[in-house]
Amino acid sequence: MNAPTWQVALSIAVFAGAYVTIATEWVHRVKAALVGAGLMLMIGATDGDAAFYSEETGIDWNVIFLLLGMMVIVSVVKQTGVFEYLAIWAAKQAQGRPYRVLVLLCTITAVASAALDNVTTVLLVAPVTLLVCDRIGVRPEGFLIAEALASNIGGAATLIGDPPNIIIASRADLSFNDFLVNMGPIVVVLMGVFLLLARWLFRRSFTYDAGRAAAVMDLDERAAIRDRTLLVRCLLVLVAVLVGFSLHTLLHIDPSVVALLGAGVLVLVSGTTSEEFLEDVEWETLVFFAGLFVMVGTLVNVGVI
Amino acid sequence: MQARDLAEEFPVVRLDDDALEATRLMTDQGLPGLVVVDEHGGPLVVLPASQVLRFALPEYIEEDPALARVYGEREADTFCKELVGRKVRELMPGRQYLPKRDRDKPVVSAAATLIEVASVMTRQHSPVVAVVDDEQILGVITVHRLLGAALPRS
Repeated sequence: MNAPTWQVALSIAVFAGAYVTIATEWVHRVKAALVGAGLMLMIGATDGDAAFYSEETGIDWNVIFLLLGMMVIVSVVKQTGVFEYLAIWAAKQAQGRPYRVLVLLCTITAVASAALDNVTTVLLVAPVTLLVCDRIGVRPEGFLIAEALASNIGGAATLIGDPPNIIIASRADLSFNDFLVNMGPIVVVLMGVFLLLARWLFRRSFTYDAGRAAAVMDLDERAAIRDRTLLVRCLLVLVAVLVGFSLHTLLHIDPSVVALLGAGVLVLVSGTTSEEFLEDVEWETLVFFAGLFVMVGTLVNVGVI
Repeated sequence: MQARDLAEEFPVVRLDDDALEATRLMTDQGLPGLVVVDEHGGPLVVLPASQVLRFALPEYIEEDPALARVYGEREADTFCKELVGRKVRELMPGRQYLPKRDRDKPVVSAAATLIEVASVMTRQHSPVVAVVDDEQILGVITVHRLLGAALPRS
């Protein structure tokens, strides 16, 4: 599109304005992205066709629906109590010794983050971390920060681990396996280095009372599982979805379609209500990305990018 | 019937009273809550038994109720130990809990009708209201007493 200079200048101004507003948090990021997208349409730098029907110059629906599908899957998996089970099991394996507990909780967080969204994973692991820290008698801040870092590291390993990965993979036409093969090994090394560093970084969190630590052994992780049948179904669907992602080059099914199919099957077999399976859908994130896509797509449309 | 006709004697506590003693007062007398008074003896807020539970329960269990199931019986029996050494004011997260305006206080005038008392109870989510006359507490009305008086005779 040969856009007039004033339109190019206005597009850059709108994008820069939205970017600064989002970075400084002057207004909510979703508001900034939506207003920015609206302004791009208003000044005529893009139109409905380019914004809504073109992957290059508008919303990448593959990304939006991949995120949506994974969020629905997480909402259902969360109902099973599997995260609580794993975290308490890990704390018991570590016999309540704080550094060992941290290593195991961070490993669980990193692995879960590679398969699920980072924020959701941390939100699922955080309450049980607070419980474990309370039982051991240590301050939880160091554990929570370590989990947030581990989640970021683990999330970098796969295409679905983090929204930016999804966008990068979609734009660069990278498959699930491309991501895993290239990022997986370095992420494993990074996790190892991080866990060693954590021993020093969070050393103040590791002073504990051995007597209290034994209280962790009284916790019953099996009681955290709410529905064993649902857990088995969830794990089967999750494995099928991951296999579907990795067979992309063979089956040529987009990751978004695999995620939506997985979400659909899980919704059907879980018997959850719409409130339950939509509970962890971050609508704000989805709308934010849609707004961003329109703004960035407009810059492509007018030739700035 | 007016609020003064239903008002009954009821213990009150102050913000700096011991939380454990206050809770014991509640349990020993089977009360649904306690009226907390200010330094002048005027009613400030009602501390319902449910708020004591909310305080004693770790926040992470409110966040993730599944965690309540993983406690052993012995540990679960002692969840109220959080109350030891606390003051009544600590049971009520200050800014969110303490009323900002007079009309947010769980108080009715002595001449209030039963429907006015019910309205204050539901608006304040309070099982107890203080009956006040000339800034002095005449007594309190509990939700049980109100319902007992308001139910149609069979």
